[in-house]
Amino acid sequence: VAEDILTDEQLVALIARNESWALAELYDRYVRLVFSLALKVLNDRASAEEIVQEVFTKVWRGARDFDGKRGKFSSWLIGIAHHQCIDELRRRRVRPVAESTDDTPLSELASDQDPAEVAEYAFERARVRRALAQIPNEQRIVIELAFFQGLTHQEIANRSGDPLGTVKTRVRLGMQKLKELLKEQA
Amino acid sequence: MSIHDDIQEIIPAYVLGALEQEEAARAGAHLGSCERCTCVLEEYSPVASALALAVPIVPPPSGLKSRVMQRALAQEGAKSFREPVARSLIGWQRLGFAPTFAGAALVLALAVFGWNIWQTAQLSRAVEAQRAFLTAMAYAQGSAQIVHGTELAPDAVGRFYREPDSSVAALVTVNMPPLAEGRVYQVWLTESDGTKFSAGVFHPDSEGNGWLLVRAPRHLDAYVQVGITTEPTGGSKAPTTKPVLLARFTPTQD
Repeated sequence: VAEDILTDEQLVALIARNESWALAELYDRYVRLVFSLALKVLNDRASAEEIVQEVFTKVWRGARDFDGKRGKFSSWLIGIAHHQCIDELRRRRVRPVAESTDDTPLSELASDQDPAEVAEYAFERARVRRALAQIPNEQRIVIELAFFQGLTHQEIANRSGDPLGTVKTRVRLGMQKLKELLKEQA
Repeated sequence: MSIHDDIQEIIPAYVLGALEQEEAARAGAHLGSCERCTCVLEEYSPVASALALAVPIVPPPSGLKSRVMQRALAQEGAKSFREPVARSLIGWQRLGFAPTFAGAALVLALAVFGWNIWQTAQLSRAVEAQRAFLTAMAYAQGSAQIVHGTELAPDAVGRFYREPDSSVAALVTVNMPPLAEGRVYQVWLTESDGTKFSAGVFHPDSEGNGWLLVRAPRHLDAYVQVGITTEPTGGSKAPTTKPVLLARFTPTQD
């Protein structure tokens, strides 16, 4: 159908003109990612559902703020979702309990998902995990603590016992390395 | 070290959310006005976003989409500005003003909704859509296509006002059957090879009147048929029910 050939950016432009079906289409494309991220960070299904609602409401209301020249829609959307999660995490002072370390088999993905979409997710996930596996362990850990648990430099230093400067350096070098690796594998 | 070096050094932590509140605010303020540092931010934002892809995918609950759409549409925008327009337009149609409707509609737009344009910035999007809708009707110049109700809605009828040589149209419907909770009407345009394109969704008012501004991705001559089905809130990717209104297009008379 025609929605499938519209880019994310075209759909956002349609949302800015109050075309609600375009929001429904973007929801279909990204809800699994947003929901899964929220669940990973908050470790609570009800909160993850609330985050999904807030995120897509922000997309509906803020579509006109999106500037395609500044980056991809997916980065913008994940940025919104991540901020919502971290704000909620810090507000409640809740920390996730479960650590996800294993790859999820494709069979665990939503059954109504397009097989091509499943394959693309799996491919992208493998690419990111491969890149994460190639950076030094101490750098990967601080990046994950910051992104998935919402910890600041200082909080990571307090938790690990490492000097604050060391934590800052690990975050910076780890992100630099990750950026290069993702670029190479793109 | 310059302020730019200082900020660029903390951008990796900024995109991860690892800065203390005060430091993040300082970086945010600088990035809002510095093109050079914003370029570095744009390099790192996708790196942080990519981390989300490492998360195992968990399917969301099936009812979530309906809640998302309801919450989003409850905001300013889509539904709130549609109903008053539908009532006004369809009331005119019932009184038999269709031949002179186009010109009168523009006058109505200026008279009734003109004040809206300047009232508040929050209403600007709604007013824009109203004007586009009325403009589409005005430029249809009598080339409205009647869309008949099927056996599922024999009393329903619609008019599809097509702008000549454009991809914009205005659809007005009356006597639409009430919708069940969590359902909307979705409009479909069909190409000659049978491919269906969603032209949008609408929710009629309590009297069964509804309207929709259609912005097709292609020139409207590319479509041979218009149909309306009932779908879950937010719409479907393809029709899942039989049409309640249907019409094959006849060539426009310019």
